[in-house]
Amino acid sequence: MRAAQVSAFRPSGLVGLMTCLLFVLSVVAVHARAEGPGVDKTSGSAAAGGEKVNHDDKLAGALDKDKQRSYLDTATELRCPTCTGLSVLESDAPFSVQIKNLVKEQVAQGKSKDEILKYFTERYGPWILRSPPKEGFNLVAWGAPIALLIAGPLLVWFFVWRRQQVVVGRQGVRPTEVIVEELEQRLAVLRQKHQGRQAGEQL
Amino acid sequence: MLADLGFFLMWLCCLTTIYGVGAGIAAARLRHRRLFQSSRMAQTVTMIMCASASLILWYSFYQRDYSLFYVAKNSSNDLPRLYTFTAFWSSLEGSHLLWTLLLSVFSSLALWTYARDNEHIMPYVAASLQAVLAWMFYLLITHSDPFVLSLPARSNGNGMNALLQNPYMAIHPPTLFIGYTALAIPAAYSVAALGYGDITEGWLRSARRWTLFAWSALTAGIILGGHWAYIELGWAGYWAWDPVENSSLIPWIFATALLHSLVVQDKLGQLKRLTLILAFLGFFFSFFGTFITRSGIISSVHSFAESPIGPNYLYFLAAMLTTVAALYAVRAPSIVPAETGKVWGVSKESALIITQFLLLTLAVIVCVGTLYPIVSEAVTSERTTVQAPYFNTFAPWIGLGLVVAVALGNLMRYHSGKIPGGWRVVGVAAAVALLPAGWFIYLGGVFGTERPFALGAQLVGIYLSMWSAICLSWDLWVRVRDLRFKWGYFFKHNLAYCGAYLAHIGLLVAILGFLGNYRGLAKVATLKVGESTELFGYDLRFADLKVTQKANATNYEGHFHVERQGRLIADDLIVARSKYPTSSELHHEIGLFSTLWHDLYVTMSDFDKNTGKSATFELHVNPTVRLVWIATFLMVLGGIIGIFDRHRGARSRDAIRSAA
Repeated sequence: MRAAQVSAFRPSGLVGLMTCLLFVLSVVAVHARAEGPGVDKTSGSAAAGGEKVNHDDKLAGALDKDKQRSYLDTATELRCPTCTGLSVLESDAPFSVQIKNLVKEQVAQGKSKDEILKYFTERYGPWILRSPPKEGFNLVAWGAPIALLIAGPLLVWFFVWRRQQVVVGRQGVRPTEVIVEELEQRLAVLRQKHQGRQAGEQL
Repeated sequence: MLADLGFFLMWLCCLTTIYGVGAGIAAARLRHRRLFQSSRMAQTVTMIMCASASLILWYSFYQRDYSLFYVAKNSSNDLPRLYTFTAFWSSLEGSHLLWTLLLSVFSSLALWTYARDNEHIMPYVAASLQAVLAWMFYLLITHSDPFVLSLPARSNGNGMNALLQNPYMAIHPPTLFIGYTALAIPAAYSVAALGYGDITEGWLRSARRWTLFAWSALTAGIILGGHWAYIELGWAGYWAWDPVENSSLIPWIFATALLHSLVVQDKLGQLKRLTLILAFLGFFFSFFGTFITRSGIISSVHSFAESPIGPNYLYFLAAMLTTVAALYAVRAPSIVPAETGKVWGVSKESALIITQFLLLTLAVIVCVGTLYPIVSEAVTSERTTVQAPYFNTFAPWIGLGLVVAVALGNLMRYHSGKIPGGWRVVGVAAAVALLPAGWFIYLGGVFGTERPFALGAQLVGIYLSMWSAICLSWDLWVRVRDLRFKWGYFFKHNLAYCGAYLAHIGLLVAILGFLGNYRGLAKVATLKVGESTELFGYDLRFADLKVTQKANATNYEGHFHVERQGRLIADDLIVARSKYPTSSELHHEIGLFSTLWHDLYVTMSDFDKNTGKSATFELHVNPTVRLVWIATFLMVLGGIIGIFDRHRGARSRDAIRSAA
């Protein structure tokens, strides 16, 4: 009877959970609508590129949408020479601004991302790129994580799962029959005791 | 005079800690209780003396005693009170002293509050903690002495680094240092377990509490640093995969992995040796991070802390590593897992192993990325850069794996691949998750993203996070239902579980927040006073450009009147560059208007110094940044709640077995 009640809880519990969730969501949604972007799609259409968009001075303003995209793609791959961790796009240091202007010029000339990156690599060395080019010794840096992601699960499987499989007869693991037999023996002993006590009470 | 006393105290500290190490080792070898008590007393005296030395330094700061070189270098007469206090750790020597002070406080605390069951290993704990302290004090009296005099005393100091004059910098370093130094306690416990040759019954309980404490502090510290970068550096981001940030992330990852391996050890008596390794490596990498920061081996924004003590750090790290590795090689074989029949297979313990794998892989990736430029320069003598694009190639995949592992791992049970309610629950959650995911995607304006990969990543990430959160909540629901919805009773007796629930939800919220980076907007506008610009529906009218004096800084303030669809957002949003008397640079004071869904973030990149009538601004819309701050709060709260659990580790699997 009790078991039936508990299992009957499950679907109603889920419904309850969902109702609560819906309620919370609707309350928050109504509240958040006021703050949410909702209406605004105007600047989004011009600027939203998934990545951050900079359209400063005349040059960049003159770039069409594809070239804007290409400019952004390229500039995020170049480091700000004077700061730490930032791309030229994120920095307004004088050096970065120079680089940005060069990138804009070259994008306007119709150069591709690879060509522009090559241009900068030739001048400043691979140091100017925010991630090392995937060639030569640098493959170590790129390969290590991938190798680890592939080899890791294999190693775990080999060293932990496979070796620690339960082996009957080792590490104190006994076969089921032995355990059953032992339990039955104990039960027999208990029965005997019980019968003995009953007999004693009758006397 | 006082300065000499401070130096003398540190020198005495060095002696007492060396004595403490000796007494600790002798006590351990001879099983001599009173020798241990003597070692503990040495540690306590060290703490008191170190605190006195620190107080002397603080006092000198407030006295503006510029006869101390450190005070002259890091403060000036115009420095406000709060920042005079925090100037203590604004440079290398002081932050070393703070680090040492915190470590000595926690060490004393650990030595006085140990569990009775741990009595056998405590001498080893005392010895290892004081060995670290002894080295720190050696460093403080040789290469990193904050009490160096500079006579004759000047009338004014150089002033504090303006970047550090921010309330977040008042709490970020101490919080992070608390995390780093508290990680020393689990590491000392693991060295002690190796020294003793076994894990004692109370071991797990103490190690778990200290780890949780350290983890909570580290979490808070790291994000406080991110928050500081966000509002102070003015590049509209909070995480740049900067070497210094990375070196704080690596110990955090190890601490997280340690917490999960402690759970398996608690429940099954397995993974003991992994626990020991992780506990040690967590602390080792917190030191290693300090080495990276302080040695100037990789220059970064934190380069104000550079000094020529790199080699010293390296010797110490090498010594620490070899000692522990040797100890491990000798002793680890005697630390055996509990003889448990059915483990691994498809079960919670396996899910936890997979979590470990993901976390450690992330640690390796961060480590490789951080150190690669040095390695590459050494091997090919070609300078390379490893920045965000590299890390962002891999980190999302690890995140994806973690989101799935969190959901399934929490649903599964030990020794059993069965999920209460069956795998059906996973499917139902997958269906139900569509709802909140759709809601989030709609209101978050995710479809504004044009780039297909960024859009796909967000859709998958948001959906899976919601699914994972529902799976987690279902598990909580099942457990409370089994107690007939006695929520209070459940909470009281499952603090560890509730803490973990909060922390995991925090992780998912954080991931929702991180995903916002895929759809940020930005714009640069050069405006004359009176002109307006528009971004994401916000109309910003550049009302005025003023010069004001604020505490010790001169601010060049741009004032904005911000409206959104005719609704007033801010009457006077101030965006400024500030000039501190002691530095030639102009620092950013950002203008920020934040909602749950996005932040409007404005910086002034330039202004017309001649006319004062026009300026160039950078406007950013950063989605869901606030979720990251909320997530941190949840995670830290979860960690703290977990500390108070009385049941975890109280009866470890081994204890049950030995009692049986």
